[in-house]
Amino acid sequence: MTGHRSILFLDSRRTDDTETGERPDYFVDLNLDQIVAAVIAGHDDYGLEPLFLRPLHSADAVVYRQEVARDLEDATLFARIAAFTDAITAMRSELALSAKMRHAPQSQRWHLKAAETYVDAVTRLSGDLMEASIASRGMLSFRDHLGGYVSSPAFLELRGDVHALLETLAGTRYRMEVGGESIRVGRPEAETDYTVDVLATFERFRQGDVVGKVHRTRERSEQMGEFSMRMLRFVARLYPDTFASLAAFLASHRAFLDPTVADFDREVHFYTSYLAYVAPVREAGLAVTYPAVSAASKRVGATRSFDLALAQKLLGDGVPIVCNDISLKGKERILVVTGPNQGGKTTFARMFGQLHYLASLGLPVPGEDVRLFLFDHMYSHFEKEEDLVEGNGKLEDELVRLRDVFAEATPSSIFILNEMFTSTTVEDAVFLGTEVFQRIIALDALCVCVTFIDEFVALSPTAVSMMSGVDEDAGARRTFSIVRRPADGLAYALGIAEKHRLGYVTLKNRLTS
Amino acid sequence: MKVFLMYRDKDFDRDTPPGWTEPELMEDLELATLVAAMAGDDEFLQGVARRGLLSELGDPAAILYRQDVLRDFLARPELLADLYAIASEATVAKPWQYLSRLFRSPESTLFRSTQSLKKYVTLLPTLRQLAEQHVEGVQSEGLSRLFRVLIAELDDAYLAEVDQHLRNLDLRKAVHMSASLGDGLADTDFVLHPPRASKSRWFEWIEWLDGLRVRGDRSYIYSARSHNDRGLRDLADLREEGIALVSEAVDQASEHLLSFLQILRAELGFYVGCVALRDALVTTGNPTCFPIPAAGDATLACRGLYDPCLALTTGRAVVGNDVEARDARLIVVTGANQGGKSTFLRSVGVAQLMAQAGMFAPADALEVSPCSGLFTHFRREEDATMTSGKLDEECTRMSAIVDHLTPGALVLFNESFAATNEREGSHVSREVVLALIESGLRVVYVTHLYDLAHGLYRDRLPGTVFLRAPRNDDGTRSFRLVEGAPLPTSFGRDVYERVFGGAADKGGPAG
Repeated sequence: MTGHRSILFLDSRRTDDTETGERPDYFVDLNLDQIVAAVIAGHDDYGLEPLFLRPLHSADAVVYRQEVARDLEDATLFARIAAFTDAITAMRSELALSAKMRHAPQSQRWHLKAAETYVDAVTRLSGDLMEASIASRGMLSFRDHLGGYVSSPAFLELRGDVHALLETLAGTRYRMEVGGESIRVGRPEAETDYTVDVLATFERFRQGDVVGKVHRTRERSEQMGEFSMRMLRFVARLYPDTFASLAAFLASHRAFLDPTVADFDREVHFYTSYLAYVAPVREAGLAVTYPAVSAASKRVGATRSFDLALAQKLLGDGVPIVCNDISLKGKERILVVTGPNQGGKTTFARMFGQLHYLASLGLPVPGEDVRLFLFDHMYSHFEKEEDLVEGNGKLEDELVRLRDVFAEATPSSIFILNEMFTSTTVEDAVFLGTEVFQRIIALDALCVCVTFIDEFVALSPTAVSMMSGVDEDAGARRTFSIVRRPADGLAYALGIAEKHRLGYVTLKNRLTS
Repeated sequence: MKVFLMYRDKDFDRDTPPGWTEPELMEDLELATLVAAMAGDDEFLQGVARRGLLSELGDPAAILYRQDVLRDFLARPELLADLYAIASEATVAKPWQYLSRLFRSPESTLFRSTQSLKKYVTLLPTLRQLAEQHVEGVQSEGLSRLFRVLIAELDDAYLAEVDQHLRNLDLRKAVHMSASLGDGLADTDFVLHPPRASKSRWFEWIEWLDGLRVRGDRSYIYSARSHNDRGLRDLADLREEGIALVSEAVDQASEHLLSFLQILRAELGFYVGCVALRDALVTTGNPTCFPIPAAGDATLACRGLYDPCLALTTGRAVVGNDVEARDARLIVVTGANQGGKSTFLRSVGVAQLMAQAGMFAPADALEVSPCSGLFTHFRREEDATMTSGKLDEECTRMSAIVDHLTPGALVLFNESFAATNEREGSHVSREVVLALIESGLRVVYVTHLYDLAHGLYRDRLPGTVFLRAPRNDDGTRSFRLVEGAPLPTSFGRDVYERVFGGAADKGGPAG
């Protein structure tokens, strides 16, 4: 076995189950809370949230994850991984049942079932990974580990024991003769399936497909009562060796789960849950791609990008999604967004923040040709509705917060500012806003600023102006154009006929093609 | 065992979804009247009649196959009634069968289903008897084949085998089954076994007294009687498992038997409808004949072809038409309003359907080419949606029809494309008609558009027949079409005069 540690971290750091992540301050402002909640929904048992709360700061660490994610983009591999994790989930509930059973043979049988599920899942995954064309360092090293593990003597012994015992159990058939008040249990003789006999007699009448035979299982997973115990004891007496092997199996294979396999099961959910989350967005024709990231260059760009949380919501409502481009080149650092309300300004600002955050997790992001900067801190400032009524007290809080922010901000920080100082007069807002701006300019940090004050653009050559507009064509349904034509009699009716492709030539073509 | 009374080599599937043309055909040809005459208010027969009527058989051999079976039944209506009664016995659900599901215990459900199976089984000897009685008399390939199959398959040995199963499946005996240990050691993979020869009562009683004991063949006996109520209940639970197995066997056996009887009933039901329709038409004094599938692909030759729906509605003998159209892709019908043009068009459509359903035809004689699909494009009185102009609506409908057309199809037009002025309407119609007939389709076009009719007449297209609703000199209609060139005007004036009592002569509307 090799030194594989994690498919999430390049530096071989184990993801620690006790890790607790605090949500960054900007999490709610950028709707990242919605995204993460939706991504991890349904995977509660894996404690995935902390994994989504740790942005990476080195390009290599990001690329390490991007490689793994790209491998998992392969639909076949994705499905196989999903089958594996489903099996591990099933195994866990089987183990839970085993622990719950008071009657020893029953508990032993559930333990065997769990081991069977595990052995099959691991063996299949190992084979699947061998077949798959994987290229990431993370998956390759896990594949090596798994290959070594499945050919290790311990695993081979486990697998051998599981299958031998299952085969023995399959032979434990018993005959029951159930009367109204008594039952006789014994070993079966060579007997036919009478249902088949009966059906054979009536087969000649069968006209179409008739529902096939259903194999019934009687629930005995709950704690057994007196009667079931006694029946089982009869069967145990008919097959004493089988029941002894069952007890021996549990004794020799009590803990069989490999810790690295268990870690993989959890960590791979980081990728698969996110890829599953963006799948419908991609199906709707929107791009979610792997960004180029750099901790050195502040050149930022994205084509046809969008707010991922909003896109999910709009897709659900069947509303078309508007995409936007971003571009900051050369010395450009600041996007000043002005324009009428309801024009998507806030969404644009969120999108900028989301892109950077998701990229720092090593995940694919909305848009094409995306190039992003790896930040050390991100700060968001979103005007809340209630701030408007609070007055001066609020303004002071706002300033205190900003002071703290600037105390720790660095040239590698990113600022997302949405309508600062709206609770003051315009004159104050210009003054205060200019102060804030000057600091950001001095830091040479990346910034998106949504504002109604267009003077800000003039503050520095590093600022770029963007405007939202109410596009009159947006959302308007295409209609048949109405043009004036001279009234020439035939043209009208023939025009309608031709519109329906019923003109002589067109119609003949339709009929002969 | 196949019924095969409708097709030589396949079952009649009354569950096929309605064809694309069905709603239009039902409405335009007023087929509901025909279906009512075939089926009364029996919903099952209505469904069968409708499906059968719209079979649209294309192969002359398939048509003749049904005609032969129908001839047999027309000659022996009481045989048809007996067979249909047997098939219906098994398939008409009794009210208590629904009721029993409400109070379902496995044992009572099994009791009911065993009763049903026994009842179905008792039908088998009767069925064989009828077959034996009539196998020599019937002429058709379909019926004699069915009878021979029944006689061969339901022989005495077979009936005895069925009887033995019924006795084995009797509930009062112990249930014999086996199982194996599944997940959590639950009993799984239950298999039912035939009962062994039973032991004498006293021997079993001794075993109960012993409770549990090891016997020579290493089997263990648990007697619930010597334990508590809980034991009895658990035993009953396990027994239910066995009962479920027996139920399954019984249900599937019933299902097999039912599937046969249901198809038998459906196929017979079609002929029941045919016989009823023939009786109704004969009662109203109208003739029927077995149509001859024409060899060519564009033939309509008939004597006394009438609309059976009109005959059924009026309840008396109606006027029929003679047409001699051989190798004629286009029949244009012009003439007086209310001169019987639409009635004629419907009679062509209904007769075409009946002929291709293997039925008799509403005529003294009929020879007709099977078509690959029948389509109607009738002018709608009202456009309920009002979203598109009338001409636009007609074009939309036409275009949809075109999407479904195949060579050899027959399209019936009734005053189509007349929603605009005569010149425009004629022009559109002409283009459509020419494109259709030149592409190997057949068209019957009823129109009052003189421009259209005259234009087509002037062209002397080969294979075109012109029919005219004539006007007798006294202004009353004979309702019988004659061959001839289109006349320049319709006879709306006549109708007007009849309605307004000669006011037209006085130069304007009355009042």
